[in-house]
Amino acid sequence: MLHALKLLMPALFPSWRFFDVIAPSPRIEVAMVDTPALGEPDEDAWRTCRPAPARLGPMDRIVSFFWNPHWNETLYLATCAERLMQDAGEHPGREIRRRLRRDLASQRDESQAAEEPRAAYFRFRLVFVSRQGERLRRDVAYVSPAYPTVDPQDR
Amino acid sequence: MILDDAIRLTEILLSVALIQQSLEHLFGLPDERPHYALRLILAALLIAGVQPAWICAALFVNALLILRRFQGPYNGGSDLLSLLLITALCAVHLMPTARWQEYVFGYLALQVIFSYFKSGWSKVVQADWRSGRALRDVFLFSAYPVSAATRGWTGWPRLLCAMSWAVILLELLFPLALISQPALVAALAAMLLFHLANFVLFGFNRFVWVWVAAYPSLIWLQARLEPFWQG
Repeated sequence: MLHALKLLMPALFPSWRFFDVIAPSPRIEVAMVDTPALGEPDEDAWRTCRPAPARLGPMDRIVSFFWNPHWNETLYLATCAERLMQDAGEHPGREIRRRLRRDLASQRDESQAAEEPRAAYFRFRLVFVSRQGERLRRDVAYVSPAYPTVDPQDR
Repeated sequence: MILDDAIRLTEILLSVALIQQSLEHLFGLPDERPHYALRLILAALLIAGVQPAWICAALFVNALLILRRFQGPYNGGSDLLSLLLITALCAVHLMPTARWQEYVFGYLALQVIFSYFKSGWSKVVQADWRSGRALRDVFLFSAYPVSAATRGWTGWPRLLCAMSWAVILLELLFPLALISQPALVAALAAMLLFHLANFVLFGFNRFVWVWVAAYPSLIWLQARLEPFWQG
């Protein structure tokens, strides 16, 4: 509880500096792998986690004003990615891993009818996007070990 | 607005915001659901006006447990202001006299004013914000735009420069709204539009609910300070 009180301090004495510096922005990418061997997956194997939709319709926006859990969780994943790079212990990595695992399970449920082959493991990596002059640059800052796609303890 | 009304209105608006957040988490990971189920019940009791002092204390403990669960705020600034509101309401009910309650609520109002003014100040001192480049970068590569179409705003640099200055001036000039009630009403309406724009462009729905919950403290503070301005 003492630690929680320490976490409370930024709320009682906030800095209120929203968007003052536009720092490199994290993207989480996922690759499915068949074995937990250490070699990195091919570049083609990485997929963007939770890509933003092409556009949102008026009804989507009205609903999301009241009910926006997926997007808020996506923002939380970006926060976890930043915390992971700040060496905030095991917690942010575990949060990313558990939520990715749940995403993969729901994708698997949707694709069951298509009988797609299922990978037993996944890895994730953090790519930080920034602007260099007029060009965007992408830096891979972290690549996770392989994790099983199913872990009963996460349920 | 008298202090008691401001406190009650804050309790109701904060509860609505907490219920909205809690419902979103009820479908989250299993170990976060109990915290938000409890928060949902406590917020409903607070709206009903059942033992507000005890309910605010329970909400404070619940907020600490949620902070520990996520090792910090889940949803950035909106969680920070939720925590500040819960703590302020909890403290208000613990204060022995009305004067001390005013100090607590005054601190809350001051922080809401700072939330705008300090944000404006931290932007205006940055050359990239003054040129509109920073807002372009937000649309270009930050994680926040809600859709690929929203990223297309980066192709309108002059508009983004104008928007940057509009945001900076709104935030920096906000404290002047305390001079009169009409000025405050106009400023709060403008800031509500600003929060709604942030929701439309970046999906920050929780910010709208939580910041609105803090507005009664500003309305109370303005009414409290008005006699001083008039001498």
